[in-house]
Formats: sequence, structure tokens, C-alpha cells
Amino acid sequence: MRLIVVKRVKTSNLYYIGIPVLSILIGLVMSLLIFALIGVPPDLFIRGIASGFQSPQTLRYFALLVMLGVALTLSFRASIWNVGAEGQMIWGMIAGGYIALFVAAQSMYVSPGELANYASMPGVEVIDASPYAPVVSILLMDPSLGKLLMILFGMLAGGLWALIPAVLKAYLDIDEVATTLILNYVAYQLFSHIASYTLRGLSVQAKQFFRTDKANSALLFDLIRGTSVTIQDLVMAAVFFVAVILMYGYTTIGLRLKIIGSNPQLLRSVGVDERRYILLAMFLSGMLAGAAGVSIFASPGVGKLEKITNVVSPPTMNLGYIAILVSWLSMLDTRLVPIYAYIVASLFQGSSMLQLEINAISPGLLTGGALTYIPIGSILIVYVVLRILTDYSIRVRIR
Amino acid sequence: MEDILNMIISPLTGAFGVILAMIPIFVYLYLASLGNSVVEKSGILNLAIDGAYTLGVAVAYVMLVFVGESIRKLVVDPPQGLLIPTLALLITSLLIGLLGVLVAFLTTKLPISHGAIGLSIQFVGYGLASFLAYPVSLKVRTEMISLDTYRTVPEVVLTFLTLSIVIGVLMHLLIFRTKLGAAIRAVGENPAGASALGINVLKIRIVATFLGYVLIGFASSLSLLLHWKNWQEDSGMGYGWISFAISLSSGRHPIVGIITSMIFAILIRYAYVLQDILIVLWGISISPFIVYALPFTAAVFIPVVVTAIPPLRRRFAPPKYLGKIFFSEERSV
Repeated sequence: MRLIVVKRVKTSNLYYIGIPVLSILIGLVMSLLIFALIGVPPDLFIRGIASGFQSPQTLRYFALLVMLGVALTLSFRASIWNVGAEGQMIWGMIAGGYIALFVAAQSMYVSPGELANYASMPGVEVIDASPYAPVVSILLMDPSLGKLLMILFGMLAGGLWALIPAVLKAYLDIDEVATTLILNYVAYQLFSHIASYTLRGLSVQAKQFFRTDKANSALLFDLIRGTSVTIQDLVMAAVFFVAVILMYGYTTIGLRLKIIGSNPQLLRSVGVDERRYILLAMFLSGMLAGAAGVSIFASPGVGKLEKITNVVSPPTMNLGYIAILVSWLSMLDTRLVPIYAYIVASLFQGSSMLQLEINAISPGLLTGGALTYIPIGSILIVYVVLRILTDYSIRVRIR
Repeated sequence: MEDILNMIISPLTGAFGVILAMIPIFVYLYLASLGNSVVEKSGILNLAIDGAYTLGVAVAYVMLVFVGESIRKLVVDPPQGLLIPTLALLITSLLIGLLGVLVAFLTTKLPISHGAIGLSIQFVGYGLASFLAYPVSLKVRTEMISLDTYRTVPEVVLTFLTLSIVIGVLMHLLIFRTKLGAAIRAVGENPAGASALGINVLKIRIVATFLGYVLIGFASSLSLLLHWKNWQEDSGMGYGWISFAISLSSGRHPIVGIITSMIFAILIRYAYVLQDILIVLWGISISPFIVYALPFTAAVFIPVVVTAIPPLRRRFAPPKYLGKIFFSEERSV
């Protein structure tokens, strides 16, 4: 008996939903077995993962993963493998942070005696109430204008960072997977540098740790009660989602971005410079990732830039990599991104809840790195292998 | 008199120390890039390298502790020095080599994208690395286990330097002078043609990736055993990509790789010296983060420089079938 792989005449739609769902299930079982090896009880694993699906915290990751999933799908569909969303988010955070800390508001020392006067003024927030050198943050513009500027500059910064590998790819034909990934490491280090030197804050905490001041809370996004998601996160996710779908459906740019992935010769033959569309795909992709970075910075729980102590756990929470999963599971179809963004967000939230529970039983058994990367990697491997079923069929031949 | 003598000798011993400090970095970068070159010569786009490297560092750490403990249990008076780290080194190389076989099997036997499967294996590699080594690192810290790594003394370091150059030359001979090497190159350039001539593509690719991944495992273990001497959660992350860039910018040529690896070793080691020189001479201070980012920046831009020079671009061109799916219409698994 032999297994034979045969190319299908027509690609199968039957597996369109089956493959992603099956990959998630098999990948999770694989991780369950791996974790069971060192004594994580399977029922704890299942309960932990399942709890993510009902957690109100999941919504935040959902919004971020929709943005990132749409961003990555944009480039993946054009056959440009942008795995540098991490770095683009980092630049979004830096640019958003710069606007929030230095343009839309300003931190300054005040004399301890006048602190009470400042505190009562509108638009002024006490950042550090130390008795010797108190620091206040003064709003310099309307907070909604400030937020808009943060988002715009964050998007611009993410897009520009993405243009580096795009130029290398378009004009020198250098593989973008390697460059985007390596640039993530560069971005992490530059982030640490900028947080601890260039934009180092005035407050005692900022001087003590390598970080900026906390941003004026008027410039942070508005939490939805009972969750950790903000209104702006959801609005941005919805706007990007709809905008990209409209772009694909109704504009020439969208059409060309689709064609460049499947048939670049066609574009060349109608006289379109396909290199410009490589740049465009990466720029747009980086812009959306940059917006996700601003979202993370402006989340009320964050509001500052701080040195990265360990590249396994950057402030971007590895969502740039996790979004690859969202994009692939959606079979590079933007319309399916929200569905898989929700599933993956739940898994992500579930795994962090699981980590808390495991640490309560036996501290130090598992790190966040193991708990995020093993399930993501397992699901991805199963997916990549099963993915061939859309174009090929596997038959059993008995001789 | 003694003072004068010291004045004359100190720069010399200083210079020797400076070179000695660079050699371990050169050795592991060179061997890993050599591994990558062999894998890619056979036409497999090696995007799993960073996962394999990070996993290798973690496995070497676990093996070091495990082998050390078992030997101490078995033997009353355990031998000091070379035995324990060498065992850890060999076991790790072999295990990472097996990972390479998996990569070769999946990419050759099934019509799947090399990039996709490479990235997926990279993530599993990252995860397994902290999964395996983190509990061990806690144990090492609480029980204060001393790690039997190699001592960074001239004899050991120079032995590994010689070994790496010998391996490099052997690899060069293997790829360009032997029948197996010709088969590896043929499979990378045109697997269908090679197959028609009676070469078993899968077999050749398995041999090439096994060899390559053994080298990557060897290199990653050495980076722990000879240089870092300890493990933390992000140990090794990114170094696989630096070796990838070295291999890319040396056109996957074993001998040219010596020069490129040297450049990166100097960058990684002497960026700190550069930091000191700049501040002493001109009062410019560079932050440690920038210093740390330098080799990564170079990893992006040195390949750019190399490919921008037309004669080099032609000579260093990748194998024609690199990363392309090799699949005929029907095939048994």
C-alpha cells in the first residue's frame, strides 16, 4: 500500500475551512502532548486555553490582531513575506510615543511649592509628585488632535521602516524574509536606545529605570468598561478592515496588488512597474502595523516606552509573529481575518492565563516564550503541511 | 627595568588577548554559516536556521548539565575539562542534524513552501528552546551547579580555530571536488535534471542538510560552551540570522566565508572597543544598544553591498532552484 500525492485539476474549496480548523486542533493537541511531558496536566491546558474564548481581555488582542492580520495579508497576497511587523510596530510605538510625550504634551519640572497650583489647572497632569523635583505634563493641543497625530505619525514611521526591506527586495532582489526578521532585532535595540537615552523622561522613575515619562492620560485611548480594549482600537481595526476590502474590490491599486502576487509578468506586460507595487504593498502593510504599535503605546496600561530587557518578551508581545498565524489561517483572504483573529486572540489570552495557573502550581516550569511559541509553531507546521491539500490530493494505492 | 619591560610586553599580550577574544565568535559564526551554505547549495531555502540555532544553544545547555550530573554519579573522581563539554557538543550536533533531516524530508517529499515550513520550524525551535532550558536554568541557579564549559585559554581556542578552518577546507573540497558535492550542487541548480540523470534528490538533500545542520548544531553549542558560558531565555536568538547573512554575502562559498565571518566577529567583539575609542578620542558616547544593533544592521546591509557589485553578484548568485518547490505531478509519499 502506498500513499500517492496527485495534483488536483481544480483547486478544492472543500478544504478552505477544514484545513485551518484541523490545523488549530492538531497543533493544539501537539502542544498539549509536549507540555504534558513535563507535567502540565492536560485538563489544565484545555481549561486554560478554553478560558481565553470567554475572557473580556481577549478583545484587545482581537483588535490588534485584526489590524496586524489585515496588514500582513496585504503583503502576503502580493507574495511579499513581511515578517517584520514586530519592527514596524516598534516604530509605531516610538513615533506615537514621541508625539504624545513631546509634541501634543510636554513634561516639565515645577517647583514643589507650586505643584498644587499646577495640579488644579486644566490639561495639566502630575506625572511625578516627588517632594524635590515634581514633574507635570502639560497638554499643548486638543487631546483628540493629539491622538490623531499619534496614529498618523505611528503609521508613517511603521511604513517607512517597512520600506527598507521593500527597496532591497524590489531593486536588489534580496530575500525579504531574512531582512524583515533581522530588522526586527535592529528595531528592538533602537527602541531600547531611544527609550533610555533620546526620549528618557524627567521623573524619578524614568531616571531610575531606562524609560520615558508616562504620557499625559488625556492622550491615551479610551478604555471600554470591563475590558482592556479601547474604543480607538476597535475603530481602527474596523476602518482598516473595511478600507482594505474596498481597496481590493473597487480600485486598480487593489487589483494590481492582488495580481502582483499571482502573475507579475502580466503587470509588466501592461506597462506597470511592479517594483513600485512591491514598495506600496510593504508601505501599506507597515503603516497598519505601525498603527497597531500606537495602539499598544496608547493603551492606558502602558503609556510609556521602556528598555527591552529580553528580546523574547518585547512590548509588542510578539503579536507581529502571531499575526502570521492569523493571516495564513485565513488562507490570505482579508474577509476571513476577523474570524481567525478572534480564535488566535483567544488562544493567546488563554495561554497567558494558563501561564499564571501553571506558575501557581509550580513556579518556573514554563516561560511565556515556551507557551506562545510552541502552540504557534505547531499550528503553523500542521497548517503548512495540510495546506497542500487544496492543490493536491492524497490517494491510497494498493498493489 | 621591570616597568619598561611591562610597557613593551603589555600591548603585545593585549593584542593577543584581543585576538583571542574574537576567535570563539569567529568560530561559531563561521561554522554556522558553513552549515547554512551546504544546506542551501542543495536548493533548500534555510529559513529554519535561527530556530535551529536557538534550539541548539538550549540543548547544549541542557546536555551540559545532564551529562555533567550523570558522569559525576557514575565516576567518583570525574575528569575535569574537556570530556563533559565535548560530549554535550557532539550530542547536540547530532540532534540538530536530525532536525535538518526533517527539514529536508518535508521540503523535498511534499510540495510545500520552503519559507513557510522554515518559519514554522523556527517558531517551534524558539519555543522548545525556552521549554527545555528554562527549568534547567532554574535548577542550576538554586542548586548552584557549576557548568563544565570549555575554558577560554589559548590551547582550547586555537584548537577550535584550527578545527573550524579544517572543516571549512574539507567542506570546500566536498562541495567542489567530490562526486557527492557535484550531486549536491546539481540538486540545487536543477533537481529535475539531476533526477533524470539518476540522482536520488531526496537522498542527496538529506545528506546535505544533515551535514549542514550538524554544523549549525556544533556552532550553536560552541557559542554557549566557548563564549557565553551561560544560558538565558534569548540566548542565540538572531545569531542564526547573522550566520544566514554571512553565508549569503559570501556567496555560499566556504573559503570566502572565512573573510565575511571575520568581519562579523570583529563587529560583534570590537563594537565595544569602538565605543571606548570614540568616547576617549572625541567624547562621542554610543549606547550599548546601538553597539548591539551593529552586527544586525551589518547583516542586512553587507549582502546589499555584495549584490550591488556586478561581478560579485554574478559569482555569488544563489543556486537556481533555491527555495523552489521540486515536485513532479504524481509521487508516492
